[in-house]
Amino acid sequence: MRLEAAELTGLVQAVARDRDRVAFAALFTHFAPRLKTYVMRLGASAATADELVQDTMLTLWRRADSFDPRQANASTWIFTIARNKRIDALRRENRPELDPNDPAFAAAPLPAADEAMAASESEQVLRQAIGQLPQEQAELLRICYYGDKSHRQIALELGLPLGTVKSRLRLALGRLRLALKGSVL
Amino acid sequence: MNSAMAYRPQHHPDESVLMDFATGAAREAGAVLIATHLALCPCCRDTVKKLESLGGALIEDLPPSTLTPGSLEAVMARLDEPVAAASRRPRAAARAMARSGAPSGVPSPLRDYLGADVAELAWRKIGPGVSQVDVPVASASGPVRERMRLLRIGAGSAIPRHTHRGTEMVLVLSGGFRDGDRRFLRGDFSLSDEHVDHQPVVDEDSDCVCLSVTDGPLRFTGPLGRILNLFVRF
Repeated sequence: MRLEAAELTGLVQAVARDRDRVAFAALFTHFAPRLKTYVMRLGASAATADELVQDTMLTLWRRADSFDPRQANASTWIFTIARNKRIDALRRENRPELDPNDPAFAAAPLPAADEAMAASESEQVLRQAIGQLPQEQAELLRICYYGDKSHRQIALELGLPLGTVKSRLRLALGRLRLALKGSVL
Repeated sequence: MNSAMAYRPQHHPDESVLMDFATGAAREAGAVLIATHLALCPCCRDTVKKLESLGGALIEDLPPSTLTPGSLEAVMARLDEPVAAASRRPRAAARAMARSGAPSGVPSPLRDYLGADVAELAWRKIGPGVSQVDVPVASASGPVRERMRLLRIGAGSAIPRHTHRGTEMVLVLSGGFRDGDRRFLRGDFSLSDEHVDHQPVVDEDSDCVCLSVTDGPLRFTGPLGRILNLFVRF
């Protein structure tokens, strides 16, 4: 049975609150196989991918108390952990981080309390909306997220004008925003 | 700092550029520049959050790969490992920028790359009214060959008319400049490429300090263009 967004959030919170190893094992079973696919699409070998996935899940274990469901759901959070790990391990670059305690940081108003519900409910809507995108828009999004290339490089490789790639992305994001009626995207 | 009066950026990276940042495709120098804009721009931070949630949804859509047998057990065995303290680059203290009335301090993450106050960096004059400091970054030696530098351009000075081979991203840190009919101030982002031929002019009332990330050289196109292209390597 596939775990949905609200359950995944609950499992991460169980890890944070109780160091719950059963919850962690359930998160591993859900995420690790998909993270392995993600990292291999970025060019990692199976062995490197196994290592990166392990490191990502270990980071989840160690940083579970920093997970804030008002900011993002569990899949989004783990996507950012995996993304940063692969930049560090596969590319040997630093991923710059924001520091909200920096005096120069421009703060924003706090999110509304009901945004926590919105984040996990809307993942299902978002996934459905991705499934309904025109083929060329969905494909372009996947190339952007699963590749290691900027949209400019992608335009070059696909032999498309830069303007076409930019407008295709804009259209795709516009449709997704519409599907969510502004609740998340 | 009175944030109610602080200038909110008016010129932003478009969603394709923010997407490169959210997906991790942006190389380090570009990522530092974009992240430093984000530190000053809550609305772009919000856009990046949404683009990251798209990343999360796409992860859920991926077909699962087969894990090596024993993977789960191997991770479980490591849960009690002591964590090595992450080594941190020493952070330069935030100081007010000389001759600028704008809110003080170079924002993180750029601040972490500089290692000293802006005024104490090894500024090198590269032309009339223009000085620069190279900022070392890992992506300088990668396949994209990014170059990151701080520029200080004197009050009222113009950058000679030019276009670009490749792209240049600029983030204003203090002071401001005009490009055509647009005005760029602290936190404003500008992207130029081979489709742009321009001559930005710095405001009369103060120097302009900005961060520049390029992945190709400038090509000077004004009356002195041929000479500048031979002798000025930007």
